[in-house]
Parts: sequence; structure tokens; C-alpha cells
Amino acid sequence: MLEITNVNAAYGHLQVLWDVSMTVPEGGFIALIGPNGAGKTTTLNTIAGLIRPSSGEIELMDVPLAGLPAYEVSQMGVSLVPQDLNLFAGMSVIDNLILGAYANRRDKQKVSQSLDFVFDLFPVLADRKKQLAGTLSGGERKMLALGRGLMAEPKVLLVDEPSLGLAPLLVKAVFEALQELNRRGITILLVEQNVRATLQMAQYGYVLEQGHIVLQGNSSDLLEGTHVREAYLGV
Amino acid sequence: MDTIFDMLFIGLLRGGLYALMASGLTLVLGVMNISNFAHGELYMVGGYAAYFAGSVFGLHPLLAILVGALAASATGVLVERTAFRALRTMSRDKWLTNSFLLTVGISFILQYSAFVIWGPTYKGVPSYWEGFIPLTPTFRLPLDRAFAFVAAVVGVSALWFFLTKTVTGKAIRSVSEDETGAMLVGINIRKMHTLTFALSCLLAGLAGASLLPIAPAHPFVGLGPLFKSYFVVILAGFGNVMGSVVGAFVIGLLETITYYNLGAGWQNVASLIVIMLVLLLKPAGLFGSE
Amino acid sequence: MSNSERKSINPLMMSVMIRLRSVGLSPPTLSFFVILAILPLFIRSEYTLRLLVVGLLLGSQAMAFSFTLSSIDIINFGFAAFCGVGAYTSALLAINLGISPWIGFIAGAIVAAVLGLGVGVLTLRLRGLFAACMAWFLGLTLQSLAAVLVDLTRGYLGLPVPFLLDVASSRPYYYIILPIAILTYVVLQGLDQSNIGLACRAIGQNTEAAKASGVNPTKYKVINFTVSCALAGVLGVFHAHFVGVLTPEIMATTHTTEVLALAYIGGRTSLWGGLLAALVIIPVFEYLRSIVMEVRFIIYGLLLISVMIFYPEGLTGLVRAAGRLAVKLIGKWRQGTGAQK
Repeated sequence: MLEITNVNAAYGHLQVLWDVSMTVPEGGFIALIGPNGAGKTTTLNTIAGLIRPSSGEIELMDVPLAGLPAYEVSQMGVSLVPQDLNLFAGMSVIDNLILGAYANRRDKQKVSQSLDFVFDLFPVLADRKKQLAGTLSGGERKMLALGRGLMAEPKVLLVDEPSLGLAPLLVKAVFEALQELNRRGITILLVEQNVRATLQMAQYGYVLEQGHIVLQGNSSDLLEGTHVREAYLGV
Repeated sequence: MDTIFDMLFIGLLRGGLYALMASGLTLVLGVMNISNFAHGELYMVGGYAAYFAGSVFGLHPLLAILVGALAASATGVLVERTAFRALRTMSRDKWLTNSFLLTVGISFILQYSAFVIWGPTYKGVPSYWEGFIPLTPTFRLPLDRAFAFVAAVVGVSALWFFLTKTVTGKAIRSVSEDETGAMLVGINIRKMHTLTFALSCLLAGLAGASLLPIAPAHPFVGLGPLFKSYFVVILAGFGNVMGSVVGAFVIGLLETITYYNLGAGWQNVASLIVIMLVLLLKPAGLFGSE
Repeated sequence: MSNSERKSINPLMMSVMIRLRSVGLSPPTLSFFVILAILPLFIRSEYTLRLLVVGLLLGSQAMAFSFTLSSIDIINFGFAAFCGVGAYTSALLAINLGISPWIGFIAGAIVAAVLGLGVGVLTLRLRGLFAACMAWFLGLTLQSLAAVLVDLTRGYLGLPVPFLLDVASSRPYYYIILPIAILTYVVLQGLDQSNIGLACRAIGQNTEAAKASGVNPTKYKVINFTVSCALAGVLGVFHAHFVGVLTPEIMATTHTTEVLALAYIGGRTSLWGGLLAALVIIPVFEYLRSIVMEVRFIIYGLLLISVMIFYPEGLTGLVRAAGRLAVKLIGKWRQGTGAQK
């Protein structure tokens, strides 16, 4: 569904991604792992259109995305839930969600359905509809960010380190939500630091180090392979 | 007793005008991070356009006012798509300073072009609607002023409704909240910028057009409204639209009270001293949150 | 310079040149000031001389304004009011207490500096936009006060101010404002090249990084702002005793915006740009009077916008490009004559 081929990206003159290639099949749950500073966030940002790749292709169902501005990429069905969440802090929970469905705003029915879907998935948000997003707790904000990302009924959901800064119980809840979403057919590309949990959820994984994909494979193979065990699982 | 009514009504009238101007100014500041020094000139454009529509082309006052508002809005769109866009592509750093300086240049050009084309003479109409509304035994409200107040209330209410109840309005607010987040949900920031600026100029033009009988159009007619808009925006807190509406009435009333008690020259001094004191205590403004 | 040429400059000259350079008086700048110094010898017209005096006055204001804008990125939108404060201080002291305008310069500078210090301390620790607006509001308040306190200032009727010199011509005034302009330049450039200037520029570029390097941003912003205001005060004093009449117009926002336009058209990357811009633009605009006076502000606007969008280096950039071209051409000419030998 999502094909990333030989993407190179840079911040000014500083090249950050080198010939990154990944495939995200429809309905798949793909993991992108690696150390801090490897370029995982940059990869997601490039796919989402926040960064323009200096070369390479990004295709969503054979439609090229590379070089398109972020709002167009979003309208085409790629939804990014960023690390910083980028919520609209001064606006209510429900307004944040409604804006998540901006691309579908003309179809009131669809928006309503999406709202029900998100409230079903995250009942906590339903209780806090009118509350300002900036006043929510950390876990609630993550859920809101995820919910907002889902409102547009995306073809692909890109999630950037959702477990960051969350208490273990909440991390579990978030991961369960992601798995539920995948079960319901949503394609997910997940960037995470929590390697074991991520590879247990995902089917396939890519290991990014210093801007290069150094390893890829079925998650079970990765989990058992020496590289991941030594570098990330401390075994 | 009568004086209090007088003061109240006139204060409210002024407040309404300031609310129209300030809400647009603060909206642009919050959404586009532009401090628009040419805001008063959009008021001026509204005034001139209404003058020509009403006086020269003989349109009905309501139409003339509409023409004024639209002319100002169109001017704004032109400026946004040429000057601001060009600046954005050239340099994004020190944006607030640079865009402000750009608007200073635009204000020069608009003011003095009006001077060169139409001269310094006042272009006004004696009234849109003749007649008065007797509100108290001694206070008769001229219909023109009443209408201007209604226009202000309608304008501000429409803005409020637009920003809080429509998706596009919420989208505009979201851009001021978090531009990246807005992009990620599929909002076209450029379009929102143009729309926001068009709205801001529409309101300023509405103010200039509806007040034509009271403040005839001339090249520098926008300066007073500009200054007052900034007073209100700073007092209320940058980017806070509804706060600026409240602030507008506060300033309007304060000015009127000062005018009645100390005379015309002291109006600005009183407002400014109050504003500076408030800000020294609460720099983010009455309703700000930094 | 080749080695053989270097040996022929004696060490004293070298050390003098290095000293001068440290206050920005490099050979090009020095020559510029020398030209300005001898210029009046070639000018007979009283009208032109007066224009040059005004040009030097506004140009110096542009330099003082630019000092704050370029390094710490703060628009002192009340700048004109600081000029006005200096002007009224000196004027009122002269009229009511008979104090000589020469002392008035110092008094005006002090009052403006104190006011600037106050505003700076209260507002510079917050957003730049906030400081700019507060300075502006203070300016408007002072302007209104000057207009309203008619018993003291005669408001818009105009306060007659004793002249600095008892002469009819502008020529002597030229030779007072020129040293003031040079002094302004030297003081500002010296500060800019000192540690204070370094700190200011660091703050202007990236406040967080500057803080991390141990620089207290507010302290340096305040120093910068106060110096700029003090100079504004001095220049205001000159204005008062040169023009001979003082009205609240001196504090008008339009005055600040004109200074701002000159500073910007002159170019952000140098201090002398504003001075040059003033010296070029003011006379040219006067000659445009014959068309329509008001066109001048339209041109200010167009120039300002063009500089902002297309040519941020302004007049400074033009001059430097011309200089580089000249050096290139001279080099080629020298090579040509050298090869013939």
C-alpha cells in the first residue's frame, strides 16, 4: 500500500536519511525501530509531507506522495500522529476531533461515524468532550492525538513514539488500542523505542540506524536475531 | 443622570467600533503572526469606497456599506497574495518584525496614494439615514450612529459564530493554535491565511463604511482607529478575539468617561496610562495566557 | 598589500589604523566622513546645506534606531518620543531656567536615557512585540501630554526655542551635526564590536543559546535600548535648537516610521546604511517637491517593501557590491599595467 523507495532527506546540508526503503502492505502493522537520533521521526515526517525528500519515491497505492505538502498528503489518506502530538490546546476535545476529519468535513455522516468510532475506542475522551485539550492529562492527550489521527479514516496511520512519557499502564492501553485498530483493518506504521513490545505487536520490522536501514524482517525473526537482541534488548 | 446615559451610550458606540477593528487585528496576529500596521488603511478604503458607492454612484446606504466592506476585503486579499506571500517565500526568519515592516510600507503607500489621488479633502456624506431615536428625554441617538452600532454588533457576532460554530472557522483557529497540527489534519494553511486576512479587512472596511457620516473619508482617517485597535489588542492579550471585544468596550467607555470629565485631549492619555498599568501587572493582557 | 608595501608603513600608522578600525573607522568609512567634512566647501546654496543638516540629523537617528533593530531585533516604536523628550527637556530648561543648549544636550540625553532604561527594564524581558507596543504607547502618551499641557509646552502652537548659534546660515550647524553623527557612529560601532555587541547579536540570533552560554539577555537588551534612547535624546536636542520651534509633532509616530524606513532602506547589515540612505533620500525628496510632496511617502513605502522582499541588504548591499566591483576592476587594471612591464 505504502511504498518508500530510496528516500534521502536532509535538514539543510545535513543529510539525515540515506536510501531508506520500506514497504507497508495493506492491513499491515509495521515497526520502525532504532536508537535515538537515527532518523525515525524524520522518516515519518518525510512520508507525511512535513519534510521534502531530496530524492526517492513515496507512493500510496501507486500514487506519488513525495514533494506534496503535508495537507495534501493528509487528504490522500496518510495520517501522522506526531511525537509532539501537535494538539490544538486551546480548543475542546470534540473540536480537535472534528478538525481531525477536516478532509471529510462535507460528509456529516462520515464525521459522525468517525466520532462514534473514536469515542468507542477511547471512552475517556467521550467524558471530556468539552474540555480544552491543553488541560487533559498526558495519557488523555495521547489518546486524543490518536483519535484525531483516526477521524479522517486514514488509509495509513503513522504513529511516532506513542509510549513516550506514559506510565506503563497507559502504555499498555495505547498499545492495545493500536492492536485493536489493526485488527479492524487499519494499516499502521509504528515508530517506537519500546522494541520488545513493538515487535510483538507488529508483523514486520525495519531497523534504522544513523539514517540507514540496517536490518529488516519478520518481527519474530528480528526478535530472535542477534543484532536486535544485543543492541536493543540488552541480551 | 442624563450624563451617565449619554456617556454609556456613546461609550458603547465607540466600543462597538473598536470591537470591529480590534477583533480583526488580533485575529490576524494570532493566526498569521502578523502585526498589521496598515489595518487603519483598510478602514480608510472602506470609507472611500462607501463614499463613492453612496455619494457618487448613488447606491442605497446599505449597499454602499457593503461595497465598502468588500472593497477593503479585496484590498486585503490583494496585499496578502502579493506582498505577504512574496515575503514568506523570501525569508521566514524574524517573521514578526519583517511582516510588520512590510505593513508599515503598505500603510505609507495606501495613505499617500489616497492623498495623491483624492487630495486631503474630506469625502463624506451628511448622513445615511436622517432622524433620531429618542432614548431618554434629553438624549437623542442619531440613526446613523445607531446603525453603525448595529453593524458592529452584527459584524462581531457573525465573526464569533463563524469562528466557534463552523468548521472553517475552527480550522482558522487551529492554525493559530498549532500550525503543524493543522497541516496534518489536511488544512491548507495558505488558504486559511488569505481567508483570515480577508475577514479582518472586511470588518475594518465595514467600520469605515458604516461610520462615513460621522467620520468622513480622508487619507489619514485610519490612524485613529489603528491606534485604538492596538490599544485594545494589547490590553486584551494578543490573539484573543473575544477578549478584544470586551477590551474594546472597556476602552470605549473609559475614553468617553475621560472625555466628559477631563476633555478631549486627555482621552488617549487616560486610556494609555490604564493600559500600561494593566500590562505592567499582567503583561499577557487582561485575557491573555502567557 | 604586498610585503614590500607593508614594510613601508610605519608601526605608528599601523596602530592608529587598527585603533580606528576597532571603532568602525575603516579606510572606506573614514573617507566617507572626510568627504562629508569637506562637502560644504563646494556648496553655496543655503537650501542644500539645510537639507544636508536634516539628512545628517535623520540619518543619525536612523543609526541609533538601527542599533536596536539589527542586533536585538526590537523595534523601538516610540523612538520619536525619546527624541522629543530630549528636545523638550533642553528647550524647557533653556526657556525657563536659562540653561545653555550645550548643557541641554547632556540633560536631554540623561532624561531620554532614564526613560529608555525604565521602559527597557519593564518590557524587554518579554516578547519583542510587547516591548515595541509599550514603547509606542509611551510615545503616544508623551505626545498627548505635550499637546495637552499647553501652559508648559504651548502644545501644537509651537514652543519657540532658543537657537544653538546666533547665525543665519546652516553652515555652522552642519559642522555641529556632523561630529554628532560621527560620534554616534563611533559609539554604536564601538559597542557593537565590543563584548556587549557580541552578546546582543547572540541574543538577537538565538536567545536560548545565548542564555545557555551564560549571557543574561535582558541585561544586554536593556543596555542596547538605553544607549539608543540616549542618542535619540541628544539628536532631539539638536532638532529643537536648530529648528527653533518645537511641537508635539516631533514625537509623532510618522517620525518614527520615517526613521525606520531610512534605517531599513539603508540596510540591516551595516550601521552607516541609514546615514547614507538619509543623505541620499532627503535631498532627492526635496527636489521631488516640484511633482507632489506626498509622493515621497509612497516611494518610502515602495522602497521599504522592495528592500524587505527583494534586497534585504538595502543601500549597504549596493555600496558593498559597487566596492567589490571597483576593487576587481582596479585589480585587473593593475595586472594589465604590471604585465606590460
